[in-house]
Amino acid sequence: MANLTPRDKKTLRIASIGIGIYLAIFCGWRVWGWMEKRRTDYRQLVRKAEDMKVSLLPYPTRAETAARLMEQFHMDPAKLNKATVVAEASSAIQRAAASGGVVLGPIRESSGRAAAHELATVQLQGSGQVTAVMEFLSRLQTLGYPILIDSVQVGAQPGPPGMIKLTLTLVILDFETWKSTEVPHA
Amino acid sequence: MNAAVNRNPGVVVIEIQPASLKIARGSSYAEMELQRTPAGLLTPECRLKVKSGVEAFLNRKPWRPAQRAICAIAAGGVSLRRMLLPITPASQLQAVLLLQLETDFPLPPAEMAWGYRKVSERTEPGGTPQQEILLAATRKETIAEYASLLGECGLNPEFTLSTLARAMFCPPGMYDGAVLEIGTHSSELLIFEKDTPASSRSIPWGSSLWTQGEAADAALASFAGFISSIWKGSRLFVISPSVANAITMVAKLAVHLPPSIHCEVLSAGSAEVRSTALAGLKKALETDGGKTLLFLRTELPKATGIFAVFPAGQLQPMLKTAAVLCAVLVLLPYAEAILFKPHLAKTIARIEADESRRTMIDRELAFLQSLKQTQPPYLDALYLFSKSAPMGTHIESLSMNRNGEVSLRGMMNTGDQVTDFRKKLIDSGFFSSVVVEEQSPGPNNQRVNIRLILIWKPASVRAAMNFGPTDAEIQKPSTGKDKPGKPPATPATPPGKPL
Repeated sequence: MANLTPRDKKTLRIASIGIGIYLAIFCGWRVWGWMEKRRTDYRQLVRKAEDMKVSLLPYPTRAETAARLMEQFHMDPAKLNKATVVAEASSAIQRAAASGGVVLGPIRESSGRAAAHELATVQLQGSGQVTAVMEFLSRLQTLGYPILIDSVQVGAQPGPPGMIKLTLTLVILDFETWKSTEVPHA
Repeated sequence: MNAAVNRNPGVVVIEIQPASLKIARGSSYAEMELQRTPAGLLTPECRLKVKSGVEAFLNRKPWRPAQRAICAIAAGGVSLRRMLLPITPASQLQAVLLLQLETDFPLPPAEMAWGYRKVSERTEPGGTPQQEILLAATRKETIAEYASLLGECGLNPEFTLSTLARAMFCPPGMYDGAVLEIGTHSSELLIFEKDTPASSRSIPWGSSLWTQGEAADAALASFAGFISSIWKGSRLFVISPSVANAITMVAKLAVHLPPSIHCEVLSAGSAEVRSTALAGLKKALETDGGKTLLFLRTELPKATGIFAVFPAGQLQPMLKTAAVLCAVLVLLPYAEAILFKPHLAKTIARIEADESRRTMIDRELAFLQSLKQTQPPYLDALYLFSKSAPMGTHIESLSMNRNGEVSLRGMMNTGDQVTDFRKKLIDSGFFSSVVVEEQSPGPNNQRVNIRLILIWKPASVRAAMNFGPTDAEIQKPSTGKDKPGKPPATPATPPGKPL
């Protein structure tokens, strides 16, 4: 290998420095761009996390309210089975009537209006003492099924003293078709 | 000695001799050779070598504050003298000494490094009270060079005399004695007067001359003669790093010194020490933190701006630290993005995975709230009817539906009772409409047949009202049962008759 002259060495040194500076700037720019992209992504994630944090704020209260209502109605809507809920509700109504001293007469079931999230409509007639009928009415809400009393008719009933005749129209609601809050006039 | 080191673990002690620099901290020790120019200054190569050597010895982190260093310099070029001054307040003593320096020394005080120590106060019979001051002074360049070098190494040096450091080992009652330390190439003599140091001398004669055969005797004789010419005391203490060497020196010197001078060996704390001056400095630190030492100070020109805040040699490390901190400040957001992004993304994914659970909560809550709000208040209405109906009222039929429409058909005794009943229902606030659709007298005008159509108010309005029975009303039937002789509270409606 030929010996390098001082001029060659100087040229090589300058060229090396130039290439080094070019590589430093080029690589530095790439690295900086990569880091900037990571930072932008991270900031977007942070913003998203902050939005999520705000949206999650009411959930503890909502969960607590839902738990309180479930306890009040003795019902967990998520566990209701659409296929069996009408039968189970009808059975529970009859059990409640029997245990409360209300003698039930004919019971008619018909399909409810799907548009109103009704699964079925149950019409029943019964008779019993005033206190028993009142207790039966109050227990209907805590049977553990989404039962809405559509109408109540109370009239005189031939028989022992204090006996009254009761005609009820009940609506069993469908939780699965429930999408949003609907509060009809009541 | 070790106790001193333990009590002052951060203090560095240094001895600077013409040909060597010895440094110690705790049990660590290092020695460096010094190369000087003909003018007596350190050569640039030597300066760099010493700087790297001291930095390696200290192993100091750049951000740590400067460490205190007590440096004992050689007696050569340093003038040590005692002077009597009138007693002045401490605040004025400095000014008085400056005047004295201008009078006694050829250089102006600004070009000197100097220090003093108050020795005693006395009053001559019939004279004014005076104070005795021990003053040391040297050229400022001597100290400035060492101060600059050590400052660059991260030290905050204070300068004293090595002869005064060795005096820490002197026994009490020195009177007019002297302490001689014989080095390899030169020796140092500290002369006492009235039990306190009075002057010091550097003698260009060392133990290396002993190896020169017959010439050694001649050199030793001239050395002894020089000592006896500058000092007229009676007790000469010889101190050396090695006690054995000191004994040999004493034996040789005693031959040539006048018989009136009694030579003794002065121990530097133990049989072997690396440097008597360093041992003396450590002992001074152990005794009182070095307060009894006489420190030389320079009146260096005051720095301005940022240089006034940071000591010499510390500005560059501070600037480096500031630059590093700035770089960290710029890069921290990027580092945060790189470090925390995976964790944050994982957390967000976990929360998003729970979306179905939140949807279910929303659905259940909406459903249950709707169920509660749409549940018609049949029992409330029945309670209000029973509460408002006058005695003797017969309700034949009652019909209510989810839309709030109530139809009631019955009989009352008089028309006034109908009016009263209606008024009570309106006053209850439960119904928005109370219409007596029909009111007709019965047979023989004894009873009034009525038919009412009512509409209760919406749930949002009813929510603010309280219609339920009071606690007293709830307790009433049970109280009645408990009372003996009272019939049970059963409806008195005869069979087949209206309620």
